[in-house]
Amino acid sequence: MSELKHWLDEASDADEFERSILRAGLEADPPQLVQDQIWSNLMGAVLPVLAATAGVENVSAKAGTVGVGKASAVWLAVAKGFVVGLSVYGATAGVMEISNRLAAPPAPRASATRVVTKARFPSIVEERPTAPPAPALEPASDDAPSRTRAASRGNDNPSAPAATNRETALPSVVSFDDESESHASDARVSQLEGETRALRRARDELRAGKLADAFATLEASQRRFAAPELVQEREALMIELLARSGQQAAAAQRARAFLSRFPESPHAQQVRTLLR
Amino acid sequence: MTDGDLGNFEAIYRQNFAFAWRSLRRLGVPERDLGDAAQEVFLVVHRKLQQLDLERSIAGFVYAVCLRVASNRRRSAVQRHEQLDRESEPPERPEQALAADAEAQRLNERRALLAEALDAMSLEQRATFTLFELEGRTGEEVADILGVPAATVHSRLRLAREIFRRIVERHRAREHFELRRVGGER
Repeated sequence: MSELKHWLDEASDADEFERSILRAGLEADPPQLVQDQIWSNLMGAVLPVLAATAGVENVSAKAGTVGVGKASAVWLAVAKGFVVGLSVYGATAGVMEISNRLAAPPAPRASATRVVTKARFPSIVEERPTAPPAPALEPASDDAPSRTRAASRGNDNPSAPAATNRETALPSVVSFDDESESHASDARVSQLEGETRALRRARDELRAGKLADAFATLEASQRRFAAPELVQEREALMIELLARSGQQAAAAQRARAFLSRFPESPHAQQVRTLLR
Repeated sequence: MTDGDLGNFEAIYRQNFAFAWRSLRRLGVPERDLGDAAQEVFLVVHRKLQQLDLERSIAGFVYAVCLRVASNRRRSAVQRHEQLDRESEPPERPEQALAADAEAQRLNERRALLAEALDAMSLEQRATFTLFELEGRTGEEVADILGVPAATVHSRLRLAREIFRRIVERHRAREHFELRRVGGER
């Protein structure tokens, strides 16, 4: 059994299309909000049992809830500032109706299904980080000057092979507005802009837990930019994505290849961390 | 039931909720029922808390409950003549608003294809396949979670892969046929 390779492993006998189908099934974990809501419901079901043995006040304090009752409408105050009500807890476990409303004004009650349905997909998670950490795309501040110099060198010599700049230029230090650049440089900058946009989108999707979407974005970027300027960034992001989606073997394999190819990369440290 | 039990239960819940959620979804519980099903799973876990050996694999126990819940729901859905996933696949995702977005469309097609392949498997094959291929567990871990010998996991995985490939091949053949037909009409 141990000799079997996971199909998501690139060394397996699955083809790329088959792998892409499997990757489409790598949905992210449910949003924290859903987890908290269901925990509140469970407490509504469990606390009456606890109350019988330990006293309602003590137990309620422990569970972080206020006011619990069985077979009646109860509202559980949750630290995040919303109120979840458990309106029905009957003999049939699992058939529960949740009401969810803000403190004021009260919203119409919705069923448990509704509540969960609204938050069920990672893409519904709307709270994207306003200033997300970007280890895969943005250099550590210590590296910024050297990167700026590298980018300048690339601009000074637009006829230089793309590979010269490919390993060094980063979106955060490239000016897209320099009108003095040649057409060739413009094309490269245009590609950089496109790559940057795609990588940022993939990174945001990764941070928001939309793993399948992030895979799709990176795949699209790979198809569109066969000779990428930001190959290190893309690869580092892919490694992180694989690791986050539980594909540890594939992530480790790619990480080793990355470190062997780009031992001095500013992302090397982050990639090494993922290898541990 | 003691405060310690509540603490244990909360720890088990926090550590296994995402795993249970993913497992229920991959075992075919429709999106609209995931919340109820997850709640049901942890109510059972809570009921059995006293009997749980906390030193052993809790994930295995949680998964066994997920399997039972998914199986019961599948059975009652069949009795009600409902189709499980189809009506909610693809669900009301923002991608629908971006129907013109080719990438989102491609992703939805692949999800639908995966759902079709998983639906064609037995529940045991589906559990083995999703734990191994999607959850990234090793064969030994899958055997441990499902409580079956490694050889059984091997056999179920082989059959599940055959089913997956059959569905994918059929999809390819259909696409090829469609392309040729469109080409022929020009």
